[in-house]
Amino acid sequence: MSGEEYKREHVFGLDYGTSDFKFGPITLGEVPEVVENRGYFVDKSSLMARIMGVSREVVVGKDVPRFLESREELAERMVYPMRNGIVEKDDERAWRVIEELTRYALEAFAPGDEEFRGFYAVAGLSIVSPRYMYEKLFEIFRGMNRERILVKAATIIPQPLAVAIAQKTPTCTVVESGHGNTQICPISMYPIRNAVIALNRGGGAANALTMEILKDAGYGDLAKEESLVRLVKERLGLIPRDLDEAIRYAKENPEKVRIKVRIPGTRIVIDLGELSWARFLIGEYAFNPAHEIFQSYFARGMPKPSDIRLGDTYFYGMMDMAEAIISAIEKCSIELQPHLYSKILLSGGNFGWSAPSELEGVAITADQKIKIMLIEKGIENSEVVVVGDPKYSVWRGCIVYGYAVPVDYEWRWERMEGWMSLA
Amino acid sequence: MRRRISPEDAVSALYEEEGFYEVERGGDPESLYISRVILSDGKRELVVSVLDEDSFTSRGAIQDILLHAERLKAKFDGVCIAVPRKYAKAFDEGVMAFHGFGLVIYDNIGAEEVIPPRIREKRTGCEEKREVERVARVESQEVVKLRGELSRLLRVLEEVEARLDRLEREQRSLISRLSRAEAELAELKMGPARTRTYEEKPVEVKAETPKSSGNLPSYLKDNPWIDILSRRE
Repeated sequence: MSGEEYKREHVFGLDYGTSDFKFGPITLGEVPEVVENRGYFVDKSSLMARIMGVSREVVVGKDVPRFLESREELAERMVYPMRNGIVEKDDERAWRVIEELTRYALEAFAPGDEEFRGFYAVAGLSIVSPRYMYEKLFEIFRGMNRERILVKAATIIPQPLAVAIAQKTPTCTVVESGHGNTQICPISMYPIRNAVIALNRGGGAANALTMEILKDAGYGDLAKEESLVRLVKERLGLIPRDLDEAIRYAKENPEKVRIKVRIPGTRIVIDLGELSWARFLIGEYAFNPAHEIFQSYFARGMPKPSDIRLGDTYFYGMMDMAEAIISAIEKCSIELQPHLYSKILLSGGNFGWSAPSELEGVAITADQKIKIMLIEKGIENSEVVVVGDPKYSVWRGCIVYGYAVPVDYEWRWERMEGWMSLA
Repeated sequence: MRRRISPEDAVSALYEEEGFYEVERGGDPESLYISRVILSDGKRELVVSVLDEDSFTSRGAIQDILLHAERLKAKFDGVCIAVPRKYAKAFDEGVMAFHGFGLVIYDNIGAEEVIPPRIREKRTGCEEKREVERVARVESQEVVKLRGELSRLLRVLEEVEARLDRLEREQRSLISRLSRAEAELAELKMGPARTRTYEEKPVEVKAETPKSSGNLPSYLKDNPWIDILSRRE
């Protein structure tokens, strides 16, 4: 079997998302394995650890729930290694989790036969990841090979590039919005790194607003449960075509907007009642938190998405989504700009909003919202698409990248591309 | 099914956490009842005499293990006795600690150190300090020397790289000049009537299409990126 053939059969994708880690070899086909991006530092003296004969320091993947102990222990021992897609340079516990997750992923699929000489690993990281993250990840791959050859060669690509690849679009603008942040990256065969704009908000910001709305509706006790708030946001949140008109419509037709959300497996039913018009606030906030209506929530103590600097990247807090897209595209050459507007790909969990048919014309989808916002700012000919299976598109892009890039294309730091040979 | 761990495995795992690695295990040739595990951390050797449940059916087992342990003190830096958890009470902890023996108890789940063994220090503190100072002195001199060498090599490497770049540029320019000259010469030889126009076609690098595209996932089929990425060089 030639080197190229071997590589194609042993491409392995690893998508390090802030909340989920997606992984698997090309042989998995359409859907990767998914586990939460977290690790639990085991108390070796605990009964569970002794019963299970655990010698590891960190447990990751599907085994984690079996080791959980009290809530106090949880806060101390459970480590979520990434914040806004970034692992702090000196956070040793976070890097231990990343290492263990990587090993967990590769060992789960490494064949035992003698012909196996290691995977061609393609890792997807946030476009704003600093160089040390690349270095550390290569170091992790190299370190694992000391025990058993798991990685023959590795490469790391920015997540927006992977999305563009999975969507078969060589020239486009990718807007990747996850739980904690949003990255806007123009792409023309290569990611245009100096045009990237990052926002310090994602799905988590809409959760914060949902929490406030739940408190106002009398569900203050439930508003503390993060997973419940997220579920309510997904079921109740609506994106308005125009916020003021949508609120007027909702107040005039309260029964059309009002729904009851039953929490699966419990007796809890959530009904916003007269406050049902606030459903439109949740969607609007994800796209335009600067609308004056949100000032009253900030005044009451809801955290305002702030501008922050992480590594070399500035994350804007309050910039609206269309403004951010325009700012990113306007950093590119004028000749290229129309092509970048002509294909805007929305990817990530923060774009999965539904628009019920009974509210047609009032509630819209994420792609329609962005298009309208762009028109309001003078951009007429844009095409905005929400990618299918947004959760898996980075992993799929990693697989295509590994499949196509030749084995002899060596890694070079100045272009941040190619294969780093490890075995 | 999970394999039931042996007492020796449990003892070994316990001391591995403290930086010891297993050197040897097996039956003790000088005893009737026990097996032993010898561990080392690179400087000190620890022996653990393991008594299994069956041995306790014999009246002499405990006397044998204690007398034997006393003999082992002369050979090893630390001596431990490992017994099943349910027989732990047969040993008085105070007496064991007084004589410097460690006591380990084990069961199906793992092993636990009840009394740590008294470890004999081979060298005096003074000797060790002198040795450390000597090694540090030699190493720091070497590091300084190596650093100097390394920076010299890096400078040389940079120079070589710069020269190589220059040579490559000149080579490319020479090749293009040569091919232009050859084309002009050929044109002159053929005469104006026979001059032909050469249509320059871009070199086509065809992306290898997957052999069995039927089995490929949807995102790989007809993906223009495969062609783009396979041209990366």
